[in-house]
Amino acid sequence: MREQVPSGSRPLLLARSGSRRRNRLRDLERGVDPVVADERRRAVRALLRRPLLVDAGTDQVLVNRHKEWLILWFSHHAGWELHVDPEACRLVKRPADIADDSRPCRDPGSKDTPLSRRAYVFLCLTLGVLVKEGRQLTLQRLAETLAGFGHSDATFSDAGMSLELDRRETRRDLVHALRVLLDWRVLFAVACDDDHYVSSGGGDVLYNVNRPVLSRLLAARQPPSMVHAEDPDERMHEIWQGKVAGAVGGSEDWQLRELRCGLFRRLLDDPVLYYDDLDEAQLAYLKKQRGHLVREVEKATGLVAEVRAEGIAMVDRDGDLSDYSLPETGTDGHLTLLLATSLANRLREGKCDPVPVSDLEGETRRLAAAHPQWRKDACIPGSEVGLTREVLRRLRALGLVRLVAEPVPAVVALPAIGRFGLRDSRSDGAGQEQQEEMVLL
Amino acid sequence: MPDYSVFSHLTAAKSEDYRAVLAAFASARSEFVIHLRPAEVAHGAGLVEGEVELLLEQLAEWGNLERNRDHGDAVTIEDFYRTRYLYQLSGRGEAAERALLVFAESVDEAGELQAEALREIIGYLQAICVLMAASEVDLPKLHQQFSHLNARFEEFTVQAQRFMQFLQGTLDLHGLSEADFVDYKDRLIEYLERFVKELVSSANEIAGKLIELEGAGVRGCFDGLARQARADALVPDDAELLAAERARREGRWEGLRRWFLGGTDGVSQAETLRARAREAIPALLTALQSFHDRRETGSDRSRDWRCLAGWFAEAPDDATAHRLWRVAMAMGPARHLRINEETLGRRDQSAEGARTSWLEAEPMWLEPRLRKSGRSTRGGRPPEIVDFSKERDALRREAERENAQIARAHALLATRQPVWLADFVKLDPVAFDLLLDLLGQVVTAAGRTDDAGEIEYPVGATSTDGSLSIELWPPRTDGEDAAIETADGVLRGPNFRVAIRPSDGMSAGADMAQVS
Repeated sequence: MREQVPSGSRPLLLARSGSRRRNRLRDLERGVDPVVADERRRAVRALLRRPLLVDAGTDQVLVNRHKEWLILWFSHHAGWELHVDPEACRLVKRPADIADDSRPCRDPGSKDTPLSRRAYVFLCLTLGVLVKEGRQLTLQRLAETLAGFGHSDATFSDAGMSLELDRRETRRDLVHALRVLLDWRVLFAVACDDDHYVSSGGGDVLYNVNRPVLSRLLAARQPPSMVHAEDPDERMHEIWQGKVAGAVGGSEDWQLRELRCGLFRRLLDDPVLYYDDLDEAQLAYLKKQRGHLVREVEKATGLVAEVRAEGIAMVDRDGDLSDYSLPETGTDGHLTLLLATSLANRLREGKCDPVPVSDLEGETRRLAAAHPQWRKDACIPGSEVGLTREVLRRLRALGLVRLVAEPVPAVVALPAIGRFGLRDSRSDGAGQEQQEEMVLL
Repeated sequence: MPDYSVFSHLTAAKSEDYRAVLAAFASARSEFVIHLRPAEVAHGAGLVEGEVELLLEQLAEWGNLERNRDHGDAVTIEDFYRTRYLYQLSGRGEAAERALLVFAESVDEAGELQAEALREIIGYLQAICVLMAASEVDLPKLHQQFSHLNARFEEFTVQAQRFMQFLQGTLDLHGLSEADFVDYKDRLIEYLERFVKELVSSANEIAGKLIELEGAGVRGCFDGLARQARADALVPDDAELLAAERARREGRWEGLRRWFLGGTDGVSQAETLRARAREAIPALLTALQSFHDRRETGSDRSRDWRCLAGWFAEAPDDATAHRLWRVAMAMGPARHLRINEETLGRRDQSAEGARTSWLEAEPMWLEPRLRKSGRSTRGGRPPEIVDFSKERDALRREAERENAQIARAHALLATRQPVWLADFVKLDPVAFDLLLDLLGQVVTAAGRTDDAGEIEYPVGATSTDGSLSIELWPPRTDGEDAAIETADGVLRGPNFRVAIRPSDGMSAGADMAQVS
């Protein structure tokens, strides 16, 4: 089977075939003492949390120490490649499917807002420029080159996207993209002349380029420039699957392995795996192999399996293996918890029809009035629309609700939200009050 | 400032022609023909005779050539009427030619690390040692050996320097194919390793010989050597030139010494060369790495990124852009729901399993405060800090009192001189406790030695807190018992002779030596 052999791991060429890899893994895992097992667990969690580790301190040290086991484990169970160099560790976490839009690239400098489309464009173009440049680059030079692309390439103007850096919004997008690159340590700011680039377009910054990291970024199986499809979904499918035969063809072993890897990836990366989302083959496999899969994930990551009739959720004790957390502190977190509880209670009582978003907005308004200690702008009338939208985004990202658009925008609660409900018998002193607060719909 | 006009022809208009003329002179010289006529020059340089005459005149003006009247017979009538000159390379012209030759060589040549040269240098030094050791120094032979040594050393250093520069330059490795590069790398590493090994073993030996020679008084020979060198000169006894020659020899010796033994800053050139040769290997491997990187991220990669950028631009909405991002970069964080220990504990007690629905299973337990206020810790003012200073003072006073009591007891007991126990007539409780403790320790110690046979006096011991030490001698055989009065009663026992002193870590034996 065609597979990318990780560089720096030539001896693992021998472990290419499945059984040899399995045997080697077993050898490495035999008689392992608890300290080593704990270190390995931490390394796995570090990589799951942040797949590109550069200058990451202890985490990187642990990954380097156990790199043989890690490379084998990720490759065997999840079908993910891991490249470990002295400078950087990169886990190529190919997603289990191409439908997830809840994990955008986030700008670390502006409170984790997702990048806009133009910022994505700038990010890719900058990477294209960096690949050809030498070891250093300045902001102004980069800006000139990007503007040049805008002129020479008709794709951008056809799509209605202007790459001219004379407007504030455009410059801000460029700065977002550069901040992402700084966060990944692809760029390193050596000298900063002036911080007013966004507002005035002046000022310059000198960057050092980290070439080894640069070569590890793209995760496409197929080079995008060789893909000729026009439809976005098709394009995504091609760079995700590569030219290896998809569902058609391939030996049975290979198909089974793809199945297993797909399930494993979901367990590692996604909050909840619902049986309803799986197709027949996957469901059949899962029914037989659930115990093994779940046990392997538990052992290697320290997550706890919550197996229920509707699906499996690998839940985290420590709370640091997720970008969203429920419950969280802050106004958004509190509101999310309250709305989740209300939806959960409703579902537990048996009402499973969709809840219109407007009802939830009304709920938010009432709650905002009842909680004066929230953020100031949460009490302004009209803010409940934005707040509710944010809460629904989180709940959707955590696999707890689904949004429907017909006939009215509504929310369908998914079974896993039931774990946030309140049992009547557990009043805990404040239970009665809680029930009054949650005026159910 | 010397006159550099001999080099003017290099930047003049017809510099190629000038070079051709001078090359003709140089090649004639190699056949031992010194003087050339314009016709011969024209033939040698492949130019027209009329042009050549002008060139030759210009070169003579600049000082590259010297011009003398041609006193030979004319061959034709025109020759007779024309002023004929003979040209030869002047001294400065020759020097210029040599310089240009060296320049041409250095630019093209890659240099080499001559491991053989080191062995030869050792050989010459060995020969010099032998000559110096003879009762009468054979100056001609010595001179010859020194000449060889200098020449070889000169070549070695020049070549080594050139090689290191070349190495620096090729580490960029543009345009090499991978197979070529791997081959080159292996050969280079082998070459460097061989050289370093030779350098390490020879440098020590050479340094040793240099020191030996200095000890044998080689510097004293420089005078004689200088005289020997000038033996063939026109004026052999010119004092100034002799001194200059001597200075030159001294300088060369100094250079040799510095190269292998190191100067005032301590690092010898040999060390530096070795360090640089060794550094070259990791530098080479880094170059290989970047070579690989460049190969992987070649122009194809750049096109890939631009293509991807186009796709982002064509994405119909943000959601599609985010999906494309996730598929193309695969760098998203994992996401998982949380659980806490309380919930796990409660679940252990209930009978849930894989068939229970989420809607009926035990929900996640959260603090009521969390649901009520969104925070898990209590807000508000932190509790007041209680002031315990009064209690602390009281404790401190108590501690001081106790310490004072113990100090008094020490002062009372630690007489340092041997006394009879009976001399402690009356003791307060603290001192008494201390004495009892000391006696207990020392009597036990005495009891222990008794098993071996004879007791050896004095028997020494320290108190349990280590602050006092005691030595014990047997009581007077005819003496009466000691009786010490205390608050609890009267202690009667054998009237030992004791010496109590503050213990400061010295052994009992040393103490005794001081006392006696």
